[in-house]
This record gives sequence, structure tokens and C-alpha cells, in this order.
Amino acid sequence: MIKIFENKQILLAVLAAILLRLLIIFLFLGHGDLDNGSGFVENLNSQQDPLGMPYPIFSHIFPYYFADLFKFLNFNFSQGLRILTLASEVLLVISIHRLKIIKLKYLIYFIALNPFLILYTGLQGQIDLWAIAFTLLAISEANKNRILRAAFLFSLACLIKPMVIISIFFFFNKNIKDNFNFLIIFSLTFIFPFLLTFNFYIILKNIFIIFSYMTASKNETHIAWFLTDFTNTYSLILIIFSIFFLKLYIKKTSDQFILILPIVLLMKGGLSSQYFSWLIPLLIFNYKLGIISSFIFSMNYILSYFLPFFKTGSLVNSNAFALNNNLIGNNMVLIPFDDVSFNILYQIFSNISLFLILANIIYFIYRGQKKNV
Amino acid sequence: MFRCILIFYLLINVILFIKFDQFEYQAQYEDVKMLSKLPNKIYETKFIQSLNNFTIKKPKEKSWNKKLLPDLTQARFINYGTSLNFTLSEKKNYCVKTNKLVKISSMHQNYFELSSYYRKYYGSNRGLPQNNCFTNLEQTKIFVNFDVLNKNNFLKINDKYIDIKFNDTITVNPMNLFYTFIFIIFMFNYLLIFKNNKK
Repeated sequence: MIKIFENKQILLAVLAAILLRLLIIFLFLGHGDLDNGSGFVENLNSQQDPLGMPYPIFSHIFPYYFADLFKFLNFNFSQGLRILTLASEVLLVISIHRLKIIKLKYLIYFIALNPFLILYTGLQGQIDLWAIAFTLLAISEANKNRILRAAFLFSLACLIKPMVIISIFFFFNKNIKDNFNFLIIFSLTFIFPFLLTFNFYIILKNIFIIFSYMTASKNETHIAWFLTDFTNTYSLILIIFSIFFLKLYIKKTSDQFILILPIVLLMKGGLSSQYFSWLIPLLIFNYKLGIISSFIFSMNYILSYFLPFFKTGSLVNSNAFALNNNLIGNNMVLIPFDDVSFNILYQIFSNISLFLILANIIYFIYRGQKKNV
Repeated sequence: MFRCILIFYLLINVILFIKFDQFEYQAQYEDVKMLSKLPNKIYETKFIQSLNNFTIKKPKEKSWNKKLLPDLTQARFINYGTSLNFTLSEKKNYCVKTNKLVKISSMHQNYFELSSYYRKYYGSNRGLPQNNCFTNLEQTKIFVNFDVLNKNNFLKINDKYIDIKFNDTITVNPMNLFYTFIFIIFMFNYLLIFKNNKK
């Protein structure tokens, strides 16, 4: 894989992409996951009760606690978190490359030059890509019949972002012994970090929090999605049906996982913010359509930064796309829209995004069937 | 690679164990209210009753005298753009209305509270009461942060509108920066992927 960097064009593109991300990280303030992350780490370090966190304790050590260790390099927590997100992009390249479906050259260009991923890493810094990358690694191991390794890697993905647990059904096959081994290793790896706390209360509270997050629907949804009420209420049932149909009609495990991500996104109405990153594997395999869609999604992503202001009227920095920066000065940022223009723009882009997701799903299935023929 | 991930997993667990080992726990009876919703016949069984009052170990309560809002988060919300400073006289009722962050602190800044709106962000007890209304027991400082320019940005103290005029400010339109970024990235995508690498 490293040999590919002997090609100077690729090396330059990758260096430029890393530099661009680092520039955004260090010059612009961005969002970060400060509410959950920094509060948790500070509480943990000052021996305060660290509970009330939305993810398993494992994901708060990785990557949130590691982001705090960047202070030894004179980076603050927010910068550390986003540098780790950059590392998750690298893992995503490795995991998709291991599936041996697409050319490495294209894959590197796609990830390096994707406008959404540049903004996602530079401005926000989130953990979604880690979970997706570990699941894809698990799938590549399962394809090689290394069931135990697959179970371990998939368990890691679930410990980071419990939402990916829905794809556990894609790992099961007709071999009962394999399924049993998978479940045993998966359970042991998943439970071990909880057991290390030696505290029943922490385990129970985490399970409750994970479950409530999985069943609760996201608030921020696209404006004209007329089925939102229906999909939000019955999202769990619809997702189970989708898993059943994917298992029945889509052959490859990787394809099943790639398709369930946008389906969950649509059902749970989370078409904003970092959730666009769930679409990245789908976009990679859709080539030109995927690249063009990325540009529309990044427009929608930027608009979603302004959404809380126009919704609630509160000018919270983290939500208002604060561009106070070290380059121009910690000065004043304009809100570039009035209410009416923003609503029209957001409505247009969120609906185009919605139909682009559907178009990408259809195109992905169509391409897959064409190949099989 | 798999070995590296395995070592990494163990390392995280070691950190987790060390960090969680530092807490002092106290035994408490947990009353499971959900169980009382069960039908009477089931609820009164010995098994359910034994579940109803089981002992758990809870971490000791937070010591609220410690700083709960991280320095970084404070810097994130307060130290950018322009912050207006006022001194509020003691023993008076105040109501501050603004859609930006308000920070009320003692004169030596060893104690502070933030706008009530921010309470939900951190689950912190550092939030002002609802509508940012409070009685000032001692002379305090008030910081109002204005880093976003918008016609809807306002400040009212006790329903008195405070007119704010900005001089010598550099205004940045974030969308212009974004359009430039999108154009450059699109050119890169066009030249490197669309033209050279069809598949």
C-alpha cells in the first residue's frame, strides 16, 4: 500500500489534503465535541463523577481521552480531537482497501479531496468514521473466514459508536458454530471494558444510555421529509425490515453494511451535521455521482451550522459556524443570511440531499446487479 | 495490524481501569420505580420485591466547589470577538436579555455563572436562573460576548435596551470563504479524479 506514494502526484495530493485539514484545524475554531468530550475528561481528571455520558466509557477513553493527551504537544483538546479524526480517515482508506473492490489510487484521491470530509475533520472532529472503518475491517476479516478477528473488530466498532450494532446480523451465516464463536468473542470484547469498572451502577447506566440513544430519534431533520413522523415513530421496526431485505437480496456483507448506513440515516431523520459521514462508503463506490453528491452534502453541512440560530434565535458560537480565527483576528463574524433566505436555501439543499441519498442507494444497487449479470 | 489494534484495545482498558479505580463509591439503595408499574400480582412477588430494593455502588457526589465548566469550553464561548464588561451594583434585581452568552462573575472572578440557556449544554450548576433574572448580593462583573454580527443581536438589562456600536471591526463573511474553498476543491477533484482516474 505504501508503494503507491512513489507516485509523486498522489503524494502531493495527500500532502496538500493533510495541510488543508491542519490549516482549518489550527486557524479556525470549528465545532469539536466539546460538550461531551472535554467535560468528561476534565471531570475524570479531577476525580469528579464522570457519568451522564452519551456513549460507552470505552469511547470516552478512545478517542476523547487520547485527544486530551495532545496537550503535551501544546495542542488543545479541540485540536487533538480533530487530529484524531484525521487518523480515522486514514483507517477508513485502509479498511476499504482491504475489501479489494476499488483501486487504491481512486480511493486515496476520493478521501483526500472530499469536501465534506475536509470540513468534517477540520471543523468538527467526530467519532463516526472510527466505527465505520472498524466495521469495514471486520467485514474484510469475515470475508477471509477469520471469524474471531471479525468479531473482535466489530465489537470495537460497537464500543465506539453503539449504533453500528444493527449490522451484527450481516455477520451471521448458515454455519452455527461460526455464529456461536462470533457471538462469544463479540460479547467478551464488548463487556470487558464495562467489567473493568467493577461497578454495577456504571454498567447499568451505560446500558440505559446506549439503549435510549438507539431508540430516540434525532431532532434535526430535513424540512420537507413528509414521512418523518412515520419513520421516526416506527424507525426501529423499519430498520429491522430493511436488514431483513438486505440480507435476503444483497449478496455481499460489505454491500449490506454500506446500504444500511444511509437507510438508518433516513429512518432516524438525522440528515445534518456529522451524520453525512455515514454516507461516505456509499459515495466512494458510486464514483462520479458520489463525488458530485459530496459537494451538495457539504453545502448542506455548512448550512446546518446556522440552523440552530434560525431555529432558536440563540447565537451559540459552536452552532453558529464561528469563524473567529488566528488569521484574520478574533473579531466579528457575519451571519450571512436573513431568516427568509436561509429557510429557502436550507429547504432546497436538504431536499436535494435527501433525493441524492436515494439516488445513490438506487445507483449502488443498480451497479451491483449490472456487475452480477 | 490486527496485533496493534489488540494492544491498543488492552491499553485503553488499562487506562479505563486506572481512571475508574480512582473513584470512591458509596453503597446506596436503588428504588426501581419502573417495577411499580407491573401488575399487582407480579409486583408483590418475592423476586420483584428483592429487585425493588437492591444495593448499588454509586460514585460519591460531585464536589461543586470545583470548576465544572472546562477552561477550554469557557475560552470557546467567551474569549472570541468582543466582550462587553459592566459592573453591577449589589443588592439589586437584574434581568439580562440577549441571545449571546452572558457571564456573571464576582469581582475577583473566582466564581461565575453563565446564561441560563447554557445550563442544558453542560448539565452544569453554573447556569443562571430562567430568563437570566437574579438578585445581585455583592458587586459583580458582567461579560456579554458579541462575536457574531447580526441585526438580531441585542442586549437588554432590566428591559433597558443598550445600543452597541462597533468601530474598527473586521467583518468576515463565512460564505465567501466557503465558496472559495468549494471552487478550489472542485477543481482538484475535476483534474485528479474525473480526468485522470475514471475507475
